[in-house]
Amino acid sequence: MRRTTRRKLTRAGLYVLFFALVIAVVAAADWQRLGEQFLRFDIARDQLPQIITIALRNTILFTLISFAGGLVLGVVLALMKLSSVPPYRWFATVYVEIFRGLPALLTIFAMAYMVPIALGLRVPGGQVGAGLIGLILVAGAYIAEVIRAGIQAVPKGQTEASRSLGMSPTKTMSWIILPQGFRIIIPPLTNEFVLLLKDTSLLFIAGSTVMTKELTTFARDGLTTHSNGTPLVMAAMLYLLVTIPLTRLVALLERRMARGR
Amino acid sequence: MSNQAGHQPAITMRGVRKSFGEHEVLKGIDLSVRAGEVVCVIGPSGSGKSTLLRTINLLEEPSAGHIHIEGVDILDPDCDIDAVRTRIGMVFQQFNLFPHLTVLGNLTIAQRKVLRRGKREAEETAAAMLERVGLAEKAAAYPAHLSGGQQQRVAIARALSMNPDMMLFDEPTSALDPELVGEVLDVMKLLVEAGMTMIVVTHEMGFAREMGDRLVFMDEGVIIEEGIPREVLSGPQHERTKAFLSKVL
Repeated sequence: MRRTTRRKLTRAGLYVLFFALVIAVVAAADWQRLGEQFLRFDIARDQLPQIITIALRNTILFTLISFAGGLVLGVVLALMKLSSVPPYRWFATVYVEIFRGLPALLTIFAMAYMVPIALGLRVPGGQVGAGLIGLILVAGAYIAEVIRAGIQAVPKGQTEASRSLGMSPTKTMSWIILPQGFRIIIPPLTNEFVLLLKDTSLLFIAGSTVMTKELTTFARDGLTTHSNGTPLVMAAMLYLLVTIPLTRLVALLERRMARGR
Repeated sequence: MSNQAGHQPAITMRGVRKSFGEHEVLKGIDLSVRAGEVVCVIGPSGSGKSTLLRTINLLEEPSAGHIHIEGVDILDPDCDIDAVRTRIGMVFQQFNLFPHLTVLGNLTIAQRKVLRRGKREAEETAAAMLERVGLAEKAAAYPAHLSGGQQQRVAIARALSMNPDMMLFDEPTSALDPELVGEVLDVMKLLVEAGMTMIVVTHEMGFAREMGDRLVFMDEGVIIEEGIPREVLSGPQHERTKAFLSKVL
């Protein structure tokens, strides 16, 4: 009896502490100035609709392109890393170590300026196209590791059962191992997607035109033009508007698939 | 079931050895199995009986020796092992059903992808095999929703869907709760009665005595003794067989 009373008192104390802190922060803040610096409706109106029709659209488009490219590259690298032919393994290992070890910003910069000059290449899509290739190269390295882990998480008995039915190594990989591996890696892959969504903000280093600005670049320009933080707050809200429903949706998907298994 | 004309053995193993690193698991196995014969393999754990079974469809590659399946040398580098494997059904201790596919999907995937059967034909074959193992009503279920005994019966039906000439069973009832062993053994008895060529690695002495044409006792990578099951079980000749049987019977 005594012990439960003490536990109840502790809980009540924690509640009181929490709300006291929230009230203190709210009371201490200068709402007037915060509103002026970050929530000016006239500036917000000025940002619309381009912040959605151009910037948000570009952010989503660039994320989808680099995720799709990274996924293809990641599957290839993962299969190379698990190959029985050593040079393939070496290549994939070195690749992953390099592109995971470098800041994405440097890779994008290199693809946008150094590689085109060094190799005399013209990348389709101009500066942004080159930047996206940089992002794909980085995404591929991370996704390769996720996929490799997914493939290795499928029990060995699955391969044995498939091979003993006469399925070739390629058929076994395509129809038995990869479909199961992808289920396992949906949570870490969602994580990669969200990281990539945020990394599209690094594309600014490749240079952008009016039509190729993504959310962060667009908001930074707005910040410069108006000397006011409102565009940044809008960009932040738009990022969350994409990421939160996405992670919720994936969680739902995962629960539904867990029932099927 | 068998599609061969002559009297060549279904399986011939000569001088088969297998090492994992320093450790030699099979130390020269000679075994020949006739078409329609049911051979039960017993022995203590670690005796190499599972490895022996797994070399027959090359899940383990022998370090030395020869293996012929229906006259085909499967260790010949030009041998199409995938084609040979379609003629050898294999049933595992842990069932190894494909969890992302329904029961029907488990039974049709290899028919479609390997034998290139049409959807209709594959599904009809699958339905017939499910009927044989008494699980026709489970076609749409996922493996996770089945009991261990049902999963193993589906695994047998999956192997049968390829219309194999012979079946290998690797301790098919060892992972099952005792009350589920009977339903799996019953399905295996039906196969024996249908004339299937079978090698069964097992601890079920009752099944071996009743259904086996021959009993093979293995220990430390060699075949110690073999013969008619009833005779081996009641009058073992070798000391190691006697010691093993006194522990399990």
